[in-house]
This record gives sequence, structure tokens and C-alpha cells, in this order.
Amino acid sequence: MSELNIRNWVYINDQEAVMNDEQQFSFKKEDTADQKLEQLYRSLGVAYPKFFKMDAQSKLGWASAEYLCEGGKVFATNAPEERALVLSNQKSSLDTDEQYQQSLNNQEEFLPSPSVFVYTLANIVAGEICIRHGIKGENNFLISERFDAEALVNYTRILFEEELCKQCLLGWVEAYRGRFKSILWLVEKGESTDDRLFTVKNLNQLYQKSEL
Amino acid sequence: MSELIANLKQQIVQQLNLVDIDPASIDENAPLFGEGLGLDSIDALELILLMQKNYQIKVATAEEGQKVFSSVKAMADFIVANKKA
Amino acid sequence: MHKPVYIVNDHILSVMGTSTDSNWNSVLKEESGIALIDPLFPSDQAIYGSQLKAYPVVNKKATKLENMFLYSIQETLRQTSIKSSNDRLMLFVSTTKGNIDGLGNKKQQPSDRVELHAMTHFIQQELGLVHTPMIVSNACISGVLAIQTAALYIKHGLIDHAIVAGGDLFSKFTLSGFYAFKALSAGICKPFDKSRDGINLGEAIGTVLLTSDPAAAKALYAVEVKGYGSSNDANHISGPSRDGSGLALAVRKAVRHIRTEDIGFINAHGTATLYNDNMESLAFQQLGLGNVPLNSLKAYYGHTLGAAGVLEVIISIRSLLNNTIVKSLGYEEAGTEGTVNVARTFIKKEIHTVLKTASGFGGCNSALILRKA
Repeated sequence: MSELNIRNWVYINDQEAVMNDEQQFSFKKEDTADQKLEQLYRSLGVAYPKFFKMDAQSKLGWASAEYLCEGGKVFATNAPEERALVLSNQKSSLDTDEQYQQSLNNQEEFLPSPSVFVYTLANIVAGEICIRHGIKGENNFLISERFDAEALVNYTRILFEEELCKQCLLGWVEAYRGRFKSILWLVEKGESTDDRLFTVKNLNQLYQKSEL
Repeated sequence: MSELIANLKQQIVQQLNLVDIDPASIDENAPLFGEGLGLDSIDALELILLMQKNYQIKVATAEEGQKVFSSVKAMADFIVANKKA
Repeated sequence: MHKPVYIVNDHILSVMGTSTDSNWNSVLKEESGIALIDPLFPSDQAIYGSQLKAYPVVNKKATKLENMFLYSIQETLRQTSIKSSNDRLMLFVSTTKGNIDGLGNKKQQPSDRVELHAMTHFIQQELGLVHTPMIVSNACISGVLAIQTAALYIKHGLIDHAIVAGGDLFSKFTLSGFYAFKALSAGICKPFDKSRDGINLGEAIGTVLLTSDPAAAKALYAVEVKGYGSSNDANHISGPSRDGSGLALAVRKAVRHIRTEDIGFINAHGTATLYNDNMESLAFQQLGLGNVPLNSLKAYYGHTLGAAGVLEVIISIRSLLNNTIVKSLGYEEAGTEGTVNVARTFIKKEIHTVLKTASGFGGCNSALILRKA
């Protein structure tokens, strides 16, 4: 099998959004997560009203994928079913779980919200990204205590070897109690420089850059 | 009636997180679903919640909802007809 | 060099029993584990579901769900020669919400282990598993997808054996959500039936053991994982695609290396919502599988979420081993746009291959092909 290389990579943390080592956006320290994510959305200049219906984790994943996929340009040569998406995080959907649980604790008024409940699954952010970019291939959502480059690289490599995909978006997306962090890679076959080879070492190095 | 309709528009925008939509710009006679506001099945369930929360009116099924939520005007008519004295 | 992968043992813990045998016997007697249940919240409809009143306590410090996992995993390993200390053995946990009931506790404790990795770490420690486990949390396809993931890890030589354990609680959290979605049935659910009106939720654990070497594992049987695939509808986060095209993509990958004529029956997702079953019927019809006997096990167990895929694979394996296609409980009259051949009775016939599918929130679908070795 020819080498897998990292075509694009993106991270968004509480301070900035960075793609391929270049800063795309920087947040004001005093702003709330909601404000930061809305500013990011506005800066992308895309009209996607559904963005405002999403929970913070989905907004974060959606914005990250917006950079990563260059408005869909990256998918020019492959069919929707050849695009895979493998995401991970530590807390699943705990941010929204807690919000939904709050509504259950309200004794006077028992009115659980379906639009909150639907985000109480880890993989809804994946669904939102798939809808936005027409990704119809392999899906997986893995929970791990820490960022696990080895698991992501192992599983993604297998998907390519099995010819279950020709491109794969993968990484980490998590929003919890007003803080957030995502790092996503777009991987495909092809020529590559050493620092863009799809290896555990490179993923860990790039992940380090995204740490505050 | 016009006050009820204005309130409803506000409440719909808030309940459904229609952030970039000016409530006054919603045509009360236009269909809520399909084109226009781009609402979906989850929004329909949220509208059922809105009716219960703000007007103490129960819309039992999604099928009933389809009629009740056909337009803002239809919602207002339904509220007037079902409002408890 | 790629290795073949086999499922060689299993265990089910549910309201229908504490062993796969007892579960299988209940299914053969057409018993449903679903009953009228305390709704846990002010509900304007009667709530039906399957919930374990009693469960084996392996460790007093463990939560209900953890005890269920521990028991089921221990039972699965007990009958084989694979020890939990084997460093080529890896645990794959399939769950959507884990210890979610802990979130409702007034004062949440670390011992509630609400986070999935904390629960899994506890299970790993208790069992003395060497390899770091993997947690698959991909809505209702988690179980089927976890089996795919484990099988790929073995096939590509990363490990030799895998335990795939799927489980979720019957919780106020999840129940109220499906209630808010107006997706709960007024009685025992009726998959693929014309009068189906929604789902029942259920509670269970299903565990399977996978290996590349059935002889070394002293296996009681061997069913090969022949095909797998997952997909996304890329259409809507809660509603299934109307035309079944997303599920069809997953199935096409799963059947890549077999002849579709060989499929003896389909164990569908069959949640008994109007849209899910309709979507599935259209998928199977467009794949040319409309005549293949099909069943859903949801009227026996309810929808057991993270357990569902694993549990249903286990019952399907029993079907293969006993040449008995299980009756699709609750089905009387056709009521889907696509034509499917729903099993109205138990069917005794020689079968060797089953297609298992699942679909879920987030627009995800997955499919497995299992074949008697």
C-alpha cells in the first residue's frame, strides 16, 4: 500500500483556530464559548442556519470540518461513500447530558426537550459533519481517557487497507462546561513529506501544538 | 389576535434557535415547514413543547401537529379555540 | 497476512435469563421480556419496557451496569481456555450512555463513574485485563460496529482475541428522551407490522468472544465474521433516510466477499418506528433481498441500545447453529413500502449465513455477515 499522508490538519482550542500551522482565527479571552463559536461561524462566511440548533460540541466539530474540507474542495475526486469519519473524545456527550439532566430534575415542569436529547450521543457531531460534507462512508466514534493517536492510526490504516475508504477525516472533538478543543486530520493516499506522513509520532507532535 | 401572533413569532424564533431570523419577518400565513424557515421533524416536536409550556395546550401526535403547525396563523387559531377559560 | 476471525462463545444477561441458553429457550417459547413498567416520570401514556429487577452482584463496589458487564464477560471467558490475563486479548465495550443513572444522583460521586472511560477502566481493573480496552459509542449501531472493529483488529494482527461486550441501562434519562420524541409504543412493539407505533426500551448485556484460532480457544462453536461495513445517511441527525440508500451502502460492503444468494436470513434492526422499518424495507428491497426471511428481535427484548447489536448477533448465531430462523414477534400484517419477507413463524431449515444490520441516530448504519465455519 502506498503511504498515507496528512493533506490538511486543523485544531481549534479556547484561544485560536489553526489550519496547517497557520492561524485562521483568534478568540477574545473574555468571551464565552457560545460567543467564540458564533464568531467563528460568522468568520467562515457560510450560511448554515442549522448551526444554531447544534450543541457546542457539534458546532465545534462543524467549524473544524469547515476548515479541514476547504468548502468541500478536498472531496473532488472521491464519491461520498469513499469518505470515512473516525472521531474520538473523553467525555462523550457529557456537556449536553448534564444540560438534559437539568431539565429532568425540574419537578414542577416535566418537559424534556427533543432537540437537546438528540445531542446526548457522542456521534451526533459526526452526523452533523457527514450531513454538511456528504460523507457516507465508514463511521466510528471512540471514547478514550486521553487522546489516543495509536488507536486512531491503527483503525484508519485498516480502513484503507480494507479498501473501505479513500479518504478519512479523523481526530478529537470535545466541548465541556465552556471549554473546547478539537483537532482533526484529513488523510489520503499519496506522496508526502516526512512531517505529513500519517504516523502515530506525527499525530502526537501535532496534538502537542494544539495544547494550551 | 395580532398580539398573540406577534408573541408566537417571538416564541418560535426562541424555541427553535432561529438566530438570524427577525420574528417580524415571518409571514403568519406562509407554511412553517417545507421551504421558508427550513424546519424539520425535531422542530415539530419542539413546537409541541412550546404549546404545552406557554399555552398549556397538548398536541397529542405529530399528525395532529402537522395541521396545527401549518402556519403561525393556524397555531394562533388553535390556541384561541383550545385556550382554557 | 490476514487472519480469519471467528466468534466462538457468547453470553446474554437480560430479563429473559442469566445465560444464553435461558435466553434462547425463552425466545423459542415466544416469550417477550417486555412488560408494563413504572415510567419514572409523569407520563401521559403507559410505558412498556424490559428492565432487570435483580442482577448478579460480582463486586459490591460496582454499579448495576458494571456488575452486569463483569458477570457477562466472566461467564463468556469461563467456558474457554482464554484467560483475562492474556496480553493478546482486548476488550471492546459498546455502550451509548454507560452509568447514566449516576448523573441524576443529587451528589455525584467519582464512584458513579458516569464517564464511559471511567466505567471501562473499572471493568478492566476488576477483570485484570492487560490490554487497554476500546470503547465504541456510536448510538444504536455501537454493538454491530464494535464487533466490526474488534474483527478488524484481529484480522490485521493487532490482537489475537477480543471480548465485545455491549450494554446499557433502562434509564429515566433515555426513556424520557424517546418519550419527548413521541417514539415510544403504547404496548409491546410490533416491528415491520402495519400497526407498529414505536419502540420499547430494554436493558441487557450481550458479550461475544472473537478469536483467530478457535482450536486454541477450546471453542464450543465457530462462526466466521465474513463481512462488515458501516455508513452514514448524511441526511438527518434523528430521522433515517427515507429511501434506505444509506443502509444499503453498509450492506453492500458487508456482502463484498459472499454471494447474496447464500444469505439464509436477515436479522434487521426493526425498532418498530414507522420510519425505521420502512427505511429498512426499502434498503433490503433495492439490494434484491426482499425474499430473504427477515426478523427483528425488538419485541422480545425491546431496544437495548449499546447491547442490541451484540445481543441480536448472539441470538442469530443460535439460529445458525440450530438451523432455526426466529419468528419476528409482533408481526401480523405487512405495512412497509418495500417488500420484505418477515418471518411469521419459526422456520426450520439448513442455514449457514446471516446478515445483521443496525441503524441509529446520527444517520449511522452498519452491517455484518456471519457464517458457520
